[in-house]
Formats: sequence, C-alpha cells, structure tokens
Amino acid sequence: MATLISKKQAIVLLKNELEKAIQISLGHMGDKSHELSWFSSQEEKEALRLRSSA
Amino acid sequence: MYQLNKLSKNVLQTTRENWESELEDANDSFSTIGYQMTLDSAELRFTSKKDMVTTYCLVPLSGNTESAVALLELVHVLPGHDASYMKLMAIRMTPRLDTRMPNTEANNRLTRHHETASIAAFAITSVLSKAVDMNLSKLKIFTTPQADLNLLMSIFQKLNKKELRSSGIDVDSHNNWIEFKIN
Repeated sequence: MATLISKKQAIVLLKNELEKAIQISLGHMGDKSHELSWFSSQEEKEALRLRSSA
Repeated sequence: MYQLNKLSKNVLQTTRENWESELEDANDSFSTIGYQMTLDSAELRFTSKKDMVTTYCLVPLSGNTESAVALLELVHVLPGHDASYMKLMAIRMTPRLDTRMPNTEANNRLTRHHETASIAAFAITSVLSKAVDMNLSKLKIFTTPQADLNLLMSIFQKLNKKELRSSGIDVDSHNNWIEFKIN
C-alpha cells in the first residue's frame, strides 16, 4: 500500500483521537477512574485488603 | 504541551517533593503506596544495573518544567537487533489528578479527566514517535488491571486506523497487550 501520510502526521492524528476517546471513557468511568494503573496499583489493592482484614 | 525525557535525578527529586506534597491532601483516605513505589523504583534504577526498565518523564513545556506530570516505565527489548522493539510497561500520573483526592468535586473531576486524557494521549504517542525515530519494529503497551484493559481495548477498537495503516503503522491487541507494528 502506498504511503499516503507520514508516520509523524499519523501519530499527531492519533494523539488527537486518543485524547478525545480517553476523555469520553474517563467520563463514563466517573469516580472509578482511579482504578486505572495510572493512579493505583496491585500493591495498593493488597495494602487495602490487608488493612481491611486487620 | 509536554515533553518526553529520560528521567534525571534533579527532575525525580522535584517530582518527589511535588507528588508527596500533593499526597498530603489525601489525609490517609486511600493508600498512597503505589505512588511511593513508583518514585522509589525510579530512584533505584539510577544505581541498579539489573533492571531492564528505564524511567521516562513527561514534563510540561511551561510552568514547573522540572516536575513530572507522569512517569513512564519503558523497556527496550533486543537493542541492536532487527526485531528490536519497545515495551511501555506502566504510566503513573501525578497524584493531583487522582479522583480519590478528597477535594475532588464534579466540576473538578471533569477538569482532571481532561488533563488526564491529554497526558495519557501524549504519553502513548510520544513513546510511539520515539519508537519510530529509533527504527524499532513495534511498540507494545501492557494493560493491566482490568480497568486499563477495558478502557484501552474499547478505545483502540474504535480508532480510525486508516491513517495509521496508510502511514505504515498498524495497531492490534493480544491478551493484555496493545501492539503497534511499525513497517
């Protein structure tokens, strides 16, 4: 297939598309967005589990 | 706008100070161990030669340019080989964007989501751009826990892949990985 646009141009388009899509998805997640690994981790979940069972 | 840089000791120090200051607002309402572990692991990588992971940071181009808004864990697999590729193992955002912070209100949450989306999109595409610059064969993004998988899979399934494909980049998913193939 012929290269119609450069990789750099495609990545710029991808960034804009990703940003919009992530924002919409985060909106759907609401307060649950903290469950993403961007904010929490397995270690945190384990710490919470230990604290609640203590 | 942000810039992707290899993490330096100076930026890590400033980032730690800022993130710990932000985490003081959490008032023990949630465990902050994940943030501490990310910072500690980044620090250890300055001295450990065994760790394959390299920490990168996203810093703003204006304002506090010495404090990261996100730390990224990257692995360069098979360096020097034709099949060499990059793995993005983790992204950790600055704690002030965490919706568990007690001062999160509805409007504030929208602002945080907007900034979070901007940082996440920049992080993913700047690493992809780096992989292209390095002539790597692919970029793989690790997605776990389930929340990551659900979010990123749904987004990547809906993406308009036409432009990407016409530029020589293809995106697909395999188990817990999202994979960009660079042709």
